[in-house]
Amino acid sequence: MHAAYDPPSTFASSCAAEVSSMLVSINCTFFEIQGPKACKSEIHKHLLNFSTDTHGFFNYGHGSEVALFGYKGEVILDMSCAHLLRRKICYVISCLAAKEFGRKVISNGGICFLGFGGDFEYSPFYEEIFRACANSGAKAMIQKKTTAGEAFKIMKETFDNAMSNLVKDSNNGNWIVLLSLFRDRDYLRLLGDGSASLW
Amino acid sequence: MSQKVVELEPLKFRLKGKIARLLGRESVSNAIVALSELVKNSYDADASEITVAFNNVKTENGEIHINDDGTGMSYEDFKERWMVVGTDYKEKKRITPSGRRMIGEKGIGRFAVERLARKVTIISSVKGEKSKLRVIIDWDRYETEESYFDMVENKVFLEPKEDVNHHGFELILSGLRDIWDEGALLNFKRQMSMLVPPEVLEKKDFSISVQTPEFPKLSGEIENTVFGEAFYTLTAMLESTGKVNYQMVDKKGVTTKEVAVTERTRCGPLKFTLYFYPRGFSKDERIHYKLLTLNEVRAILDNFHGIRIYRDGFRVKPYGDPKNDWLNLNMKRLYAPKYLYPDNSQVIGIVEISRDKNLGLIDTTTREGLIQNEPFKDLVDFLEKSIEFLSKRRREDRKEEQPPKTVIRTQVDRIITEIKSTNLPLPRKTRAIKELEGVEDAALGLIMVYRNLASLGITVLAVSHEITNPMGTILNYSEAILKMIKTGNYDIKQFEEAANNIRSNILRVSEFIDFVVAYNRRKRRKKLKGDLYEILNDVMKGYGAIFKKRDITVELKMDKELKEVFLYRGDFESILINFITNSLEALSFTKGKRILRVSLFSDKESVHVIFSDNGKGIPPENREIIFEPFFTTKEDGTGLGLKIVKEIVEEYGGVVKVIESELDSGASFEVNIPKSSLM
Amino acid sequence: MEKSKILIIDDERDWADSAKMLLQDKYDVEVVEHGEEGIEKIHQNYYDLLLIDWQLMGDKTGTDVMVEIKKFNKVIPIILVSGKIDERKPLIEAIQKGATDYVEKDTELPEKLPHAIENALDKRDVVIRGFEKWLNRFEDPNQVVLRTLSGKEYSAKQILIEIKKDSEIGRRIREDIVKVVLELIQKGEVRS
Repeated sequence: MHAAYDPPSTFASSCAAEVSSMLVSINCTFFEIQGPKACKSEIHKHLLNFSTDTHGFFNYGHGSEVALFGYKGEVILDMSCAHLLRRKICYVISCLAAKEFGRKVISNGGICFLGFGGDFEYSPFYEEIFRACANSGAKAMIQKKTTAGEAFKIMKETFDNAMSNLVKDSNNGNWIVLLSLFRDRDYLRLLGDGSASLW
Repeated sequence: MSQKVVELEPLKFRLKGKIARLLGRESVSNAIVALSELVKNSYDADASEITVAFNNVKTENGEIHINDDGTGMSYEDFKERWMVVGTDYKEKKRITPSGRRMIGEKGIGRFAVERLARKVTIISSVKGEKSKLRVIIDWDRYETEESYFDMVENKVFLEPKEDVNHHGFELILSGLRDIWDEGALLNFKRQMSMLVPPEVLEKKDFSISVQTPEFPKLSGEIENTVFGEAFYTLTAMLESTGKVNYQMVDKKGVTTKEVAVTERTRCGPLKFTLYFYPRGFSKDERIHYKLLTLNEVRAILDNFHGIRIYRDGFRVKPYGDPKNDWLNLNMKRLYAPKYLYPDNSQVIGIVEISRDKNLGLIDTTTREGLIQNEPFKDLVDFLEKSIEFLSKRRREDRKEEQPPKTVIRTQVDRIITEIKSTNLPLPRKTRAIKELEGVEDAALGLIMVYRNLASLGITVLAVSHEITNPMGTILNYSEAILKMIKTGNYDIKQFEEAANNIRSNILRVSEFIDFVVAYNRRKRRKKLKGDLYEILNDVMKGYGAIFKKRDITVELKMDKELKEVFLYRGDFESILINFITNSLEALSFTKGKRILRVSLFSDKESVHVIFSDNGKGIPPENREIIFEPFFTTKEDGTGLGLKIVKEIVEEYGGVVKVIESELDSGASFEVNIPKSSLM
Repeated sequence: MEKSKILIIDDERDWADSAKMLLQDKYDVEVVEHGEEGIEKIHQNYYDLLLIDWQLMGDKTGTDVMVEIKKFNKVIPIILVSGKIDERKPLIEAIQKGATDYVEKDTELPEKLPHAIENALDKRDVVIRGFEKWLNRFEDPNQVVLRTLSGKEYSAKQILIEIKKDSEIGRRIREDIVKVVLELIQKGEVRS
């Protein structure tokens, strides 16, 4: 799910787009709910339809500690409907969701939840780097068929490498970028069963 | 027809009777002077006892009897002298047969009579003659229009005497023209008492008695009881050889003697008698006089204080007139109050000189004092030394009560003792001691100046950023201008602003420098006196700009009386400056209203200064130690300010201490100085 | 590049104005006369450096003001200014309470003060300086350099301000940068 309606969400959407193309290239069936369609009703409809199947749920957009937001900031999932993510592997590139929402999801039957316990920061001038890091987990799970736990590790490493490269490249230090990478990495969380995998 | 010159009968001046009035009442205005003249005539007649009786004098037409036992006048004398106006009898001979110098100079006895009474009966008796003379003069008869002065006839009688050897002169004045009340009688008595030679320790050869049945208390022999009441009686005699004898008797009768030598004898031999009376201003002195009350003594002193000179028994004016402090005793007292020099108002001094023996002491042509030639200066020197002798004795008697001796005084005393114990001849010792004391005086004078300067220095330090801040500001603006010029960033308005500010800051500095310089002016450094009121105002004004800058409100409460209380400017300034400096520091941390209050008031015995601020205050444990030297709580304090205050105050015999704060918080100091130390 | 902002807290208005004129070609100078006022301003705005009169008179002394400011902003350099004094001790104590430097209002002040200011600015957190330099390279300091997926965004200028104000965000940024640097140092990727 992703919806681009403001700069951050646009960025998020661009990440999502990458993942979409990954899925396409392996000929996997997926549902992409995006843009205006990313509203509560649609999401709920879809989730309910697939409630008993094990699937992956990829969310790219605004989030808070207790909710995920869709098009134009509409709340699509919050603590009361956490159960809708039952039996799903959740990959959430949003701020803060891993804090309360993620926990609720797990306790309500979600398999695992990969997200951020704080603000996900990025720098508009260095979007590629952040996109690469953000999607590294997804990439691992989709292309290399790793477990969530392994994906988590890979994500961390990607952030690390990004930082190292940054330092090597410029001699003045792109502080904001480094800072954001650092924080994002530290906020990365894996909740639930790390051994689960998409396939 | 030719006019011949015809000589007529020569004309004589004739005098109308009323001339008696002209010569009498109108030339002798004062009844007391008139009566005194008559007494002096008796003295000039070698009388040893003179009685003056006042009968019914409370109203007009009373009677006065003057009776003496002098040589009297024979009929011839009377006719040729008393009854002749304008004789130069008195000018020719100045000495009576018994050797007295005549004191009735004016020769106006008869007119004194006319002044006093309308009628006089004169009874004159000469030793060895069988009869006495009685003359009755009725001045009223001279008053009529027709009478010619020399035509009025006055009755003359010869009466038998009881005792051939009796001699004397009696005047019965009746129909008195004045009322003699208690005041007049007292005045007369006082005048007479100054005639009575003050030889309290020797036999008198002359006494005056007064009989006043209407005022019984005033009757009696004229005595110098006031002399008997003196706490210290000093007799100093200077011989023509230069030897000086001092003798002092205190009220207990204890005699002290000292002998000295002087080279200053051009004045001739002198006798100086000085009577000293405490006026009772000191809290500690319980003043009791024997016969008189303290107030009576004070009243007598008010009229009779001072040092008088008598030449052959009669006064040389103006020496010893009220408030005539011709020896500058009061100045000496102020200069060194702890030396216990007497105040002019608490001594009666009699200097006896003689026309014969003290040839160098000459009257000025206006007859107001003596010419201040070398002999006169020697006289002054002798008197000053005598007074020093008195003061020394007082100091010795008062040893326990002396304020703490300065280091200098202690050292000087020690050296003096050393000198005295050497075998040097007396004149050299005296000279050495005198020079040493001169050095001490100079040192004390310097100390006052230095203290004053130190106080100023301390205060300048405390307010030094009245200079440094403006300087910093001026520099900043100058730099700014230079920078602007260098970089080419011209802004005329900024130049203007900078220049104006530079100027105003320079003015500020100059104001402050004026404040400092003014205190250093030479004329302030001299030992000037000033009254407390004036000095306080001046000092407060000087600090005005600083008080304003620091937002300090000044409250002054002053007793108007203190306009007449004097002390040395430098001393009081030092005291105030040091208190102010401390208050400035204490107030610098006070939030809210900052108050500085000075109260100046006096009571019967002392002058009080209370200095308060509502600043930091003084913790109880520091209240004594703050007066110690070098104690300070300030980073850049010298710790000397309060010590200076204490020294000065104690030299005036006073006390300074910390008292309960007059304001809500902060410190209060009280300074008490006994009035006797001030003027 | 913007001029550094300096705030002067001094009750000697005269002197403070003169200092302002002296410094204004290189710095952006403001003047206040009371401690309270100064503290208010520091809460509301940001400054690169403070000049505080040590002998401030009134409700708060210079040292009081400095101590209070240090409570909520540890990074801002503070230079104490004093009139001529003879004993150093109390001033040194004041400095130990957090002043970066002190200058006396003497005849050399017009030369010494700019130097002292430069030194103080240089001595600031190396992180901040680096940060400042980098952020100042942006042509438009108002350009957004940071976004979050919770809706917040920051421009370079804003970040700089926060750092200078030593606000929560500013503080965290600084601290995190330090952590990053440390980590990189540990990993051997950056020479200390």
